[in-house]
Amino acid sequence: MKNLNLKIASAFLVIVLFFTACEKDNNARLANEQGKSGSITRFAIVDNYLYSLSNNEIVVFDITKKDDPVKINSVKVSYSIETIFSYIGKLYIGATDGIYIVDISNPRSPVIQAKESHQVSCDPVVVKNTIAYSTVKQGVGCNNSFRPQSALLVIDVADPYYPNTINTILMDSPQGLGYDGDKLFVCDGANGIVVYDISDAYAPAQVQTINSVNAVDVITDNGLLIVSTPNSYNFYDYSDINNITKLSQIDKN
Amino acid sequence: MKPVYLPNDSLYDIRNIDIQPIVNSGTIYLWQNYLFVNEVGKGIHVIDKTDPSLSTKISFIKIYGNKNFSISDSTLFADNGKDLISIDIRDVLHIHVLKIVKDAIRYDNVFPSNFSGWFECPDLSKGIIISWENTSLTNPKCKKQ
Repeated sequence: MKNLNLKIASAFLVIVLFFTACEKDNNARLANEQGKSGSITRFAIVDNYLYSLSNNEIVVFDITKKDDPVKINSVKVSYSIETIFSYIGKLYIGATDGIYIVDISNPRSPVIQAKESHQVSCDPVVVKNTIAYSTVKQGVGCNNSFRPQSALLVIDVADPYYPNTINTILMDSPQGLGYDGDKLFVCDGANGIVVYDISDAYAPAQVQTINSVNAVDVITDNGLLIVSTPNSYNFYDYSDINNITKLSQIDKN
Repeated sequence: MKPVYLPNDSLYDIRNIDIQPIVNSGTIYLWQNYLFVNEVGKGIHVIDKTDPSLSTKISFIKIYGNKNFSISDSTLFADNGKDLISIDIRDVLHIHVLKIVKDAIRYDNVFPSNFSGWFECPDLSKGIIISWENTSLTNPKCKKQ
């Protein structure tokens, strides 16, 4: 009996150790493995796969072995592709003429599910739940095409085969964007950064602006906002959204 | 403006060098206590943000032709316009190349960005276009409005 108790106790201990080890492992993974990208990027890593945009294709690398990445696939999309964002089994590719939604349930074989066509732009996209936020810029940009207006677009992507633009918020010169919880930060060039509340995901409400920065792209990180300009980087504390404070700036030299 | 093509020499001279000026900033990426920022066509600035109120440049990873990168498992994956390069960054001040997958991904900067006016037409047979530089042109044929 004593022996049996000991066995049960040992088995329990082993299970506890196992779960503790897993938890530690997960935390370590979160802390070490992946960082956070700005929205203007052509590389995205999902688990052991790197998806990169070449001139006109999604190129897939198996990066299980860091010292021996292997190109395993490439999928033709279009010469208009510009940015890539991964979110829950999908890639969202910002192109100069719309957004491509790409399924990666089979990570080795991306499948284009839909293309949301909008006015021509060359700006990025981020996705939260079933809503994509994308910016489009007026004038002539990356591919010499004329764009009639600059805006933040709100696109319902619940059905990846039928994305649907549900809101258009006019802006001056929108570029990179990022969110943390229900706050969406949109770079607006010389106007700085416009902060929207997206508690109502369909109807972003402007709550704040950060001036005096020629904002191009952002990263949000638990209250720390990193803003790039063409030749500087700026750090802000947004833990109090009503009182965003600048922490430091790295200039050209 | 005229295109800058990727030269073959010094292409794989990938290493830490002294901090560099920020001239034409690209992709930004946060990893651990570091902000990595692409300098278009030249490599990656490494910024220590352990204390964000005292953020400072600490090194530059020279990767000629670089525009795109991402990080996973202490490994930096970067392009140079034509190859994929994996780089061990466990010590960001002493990085080393793990693998170069040659001719795996071609990416040209086909048009000068944030620019309007005449420019020298790109000739992709001359090689990968990594960036654009100012120059005086005679009889240019390409124009961006």
